[in-house]
Amino acid sequence: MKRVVTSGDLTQRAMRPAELLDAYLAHAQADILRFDLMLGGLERPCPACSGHGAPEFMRFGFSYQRCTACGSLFVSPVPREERLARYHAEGAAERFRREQLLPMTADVRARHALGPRARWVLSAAASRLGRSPTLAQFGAETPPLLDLLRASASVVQWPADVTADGADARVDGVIAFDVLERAADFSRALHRCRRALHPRGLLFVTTMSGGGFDVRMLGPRTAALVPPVHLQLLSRAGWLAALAREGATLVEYSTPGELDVQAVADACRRDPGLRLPPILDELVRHEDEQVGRAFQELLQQACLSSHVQLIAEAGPDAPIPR
Amino acid sequence: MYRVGIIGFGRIGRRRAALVNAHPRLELTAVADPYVQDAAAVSPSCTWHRSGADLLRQDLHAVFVCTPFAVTTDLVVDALKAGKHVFAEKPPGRCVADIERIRDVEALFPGLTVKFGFNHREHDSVRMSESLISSGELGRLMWMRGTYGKAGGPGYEGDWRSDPDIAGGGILLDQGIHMLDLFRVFAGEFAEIKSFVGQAFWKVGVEDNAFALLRSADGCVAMLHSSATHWNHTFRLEIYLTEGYLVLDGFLTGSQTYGRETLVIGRRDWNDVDSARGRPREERYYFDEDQSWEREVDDFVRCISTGSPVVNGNSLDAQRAMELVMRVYADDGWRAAR
Ligand SMILES: [Zn+2]
Repeated sequence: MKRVVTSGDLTQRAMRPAELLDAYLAHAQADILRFDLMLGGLERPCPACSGHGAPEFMRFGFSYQRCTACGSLFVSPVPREERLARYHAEGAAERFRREQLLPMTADVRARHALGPRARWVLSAAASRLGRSPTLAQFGAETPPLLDLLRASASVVQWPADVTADGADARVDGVIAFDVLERAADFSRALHRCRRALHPRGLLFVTTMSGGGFDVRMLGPRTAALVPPVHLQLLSRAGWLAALAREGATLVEYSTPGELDVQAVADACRRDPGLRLPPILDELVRHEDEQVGRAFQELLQQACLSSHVQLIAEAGPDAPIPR
Repeated sequence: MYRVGIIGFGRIGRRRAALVNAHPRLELTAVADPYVQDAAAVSPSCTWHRSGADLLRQDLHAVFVCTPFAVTTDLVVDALKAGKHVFAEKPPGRCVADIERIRDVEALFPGLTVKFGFNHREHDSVRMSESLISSGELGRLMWMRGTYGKAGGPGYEGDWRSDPDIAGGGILLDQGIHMLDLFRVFAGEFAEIKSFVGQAFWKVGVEDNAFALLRSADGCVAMLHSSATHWNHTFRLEIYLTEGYLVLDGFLTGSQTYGRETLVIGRRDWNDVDSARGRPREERYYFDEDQSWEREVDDFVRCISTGSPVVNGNSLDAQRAMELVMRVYADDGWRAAR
């Protein structure tokens, strides 16, 4: 097993400018009401391991539970799929994200997210899948990412809704960047990814971790946490359990996030009522910014940052249909 | 199942025995060592021999030669003549003539596999670097800097590795040869070599430090420091290309004294906007397991069973690495005090 640690100059200010993020969150809260996401929600056990959830905190009216078995964090009751679909398709928040937030941070995303992700996929594909692998991406189309990938691989774009039917072709690699956390039926979404893979094919996932530093420190105050988008934040143990169910194995698990410490420090500055254990408060808000960087790197080394990237390998046999 | 014998039952021989025992297609059938007598503890069904010659009379498919360097060549040659496939530890003898002799005999037995233990090629950091470099995304290789050093220790002066007659050379031949082998993996052959070789600390007949500058025909310069006075154990190889760089650091040993195995990947970044020039964004990969020994044995078994040629660690690799060692000695006029 290998894992990656990233050191760089990415800032919370550049990646998630406060005024844009605040506007986006305001839209999200309005959309939650507009589409009645809370109405008729379904209680559920842990989507990773079916374990029991214990209430952890509320955010925007949603109850986040922590699995007592695997430590994953998940929303329960989970909104109904048709309501969520409307939230994503018609909501002001998603539109603001597409039309404002992403374009205004496009440069920094290209440099710190899309470029590294494309290289990560291509390098793993080259060493594990051989020459000219076929890849498919689930989720929102990201033209700059597709351009980078298509320089060295054949990539098709599949529907934004991972659980949608169709697209029965098999590929060597499935890319699911920032999509599995938003599936109302996580097991079905993961199975859909597995079904698309040849035996020994690779699944590339980026997502948010339920065990990450900022979520654990900030809980309901985690700025990046948007309930209709982040329905399940799996722990590492959660991923192991969920992948085992699909006959897949985890071959790489890293949390190369660069922003947890800055995010927590920002939250402390914005909210004087927020109290961290004093020694953590001193670390995240240390006057020597190298301390913050070193702390962030330590979190990555321990796989405790909130941004996860993982590779799972499908088993040697064709998947069992459900 | 292939019946396997191990000649030389020291630290490395025992490690090989564990690998053989764990391999589904290998059966450890015989061990030879004049000093060690606890072979039964490793494998109860194993036959015990005092000498390699006795072992080679047994009906075996393959042998692992894990002996001091002075006897490696004769044993490899005798094993081939006895019709066995051979896996031998590096270095392939004590001088270039030794490996040339092995290659001459190998040529007489084209159906037999000969592989040398350059396991560093099988480290994940090395394999990942090879894949990145060959993809071309980091540009053209410009230069490399490799440091490989250990601290010696209280038993160092009395060890056979420090005995010029048995070892034939010092730290460069014993350990630095791995770094020279890796230089070849990444840059190919070297046309020129300049060096300083000497004894800085240990009162033994072999070198405890070797510094060398090598230049390939297409201009790649590689710097080597091989040391037995590196009080902190160090394995570090920096590889700089026109578009980026790779730093391989540490590898997993039982005691982890060389640090964790990591690979840093950085890219040339002249983007002034983020003032990243001179301190580019880096990705550091941590590798949690060392499968290099298993991969090496797997590859040996694959070559035996399919008859395919050895790609990593064949006798030509061994000869070229040995030639580099001798050229580093020669440039500084260094001779082990035999
Ligand atoms: Zn669970």
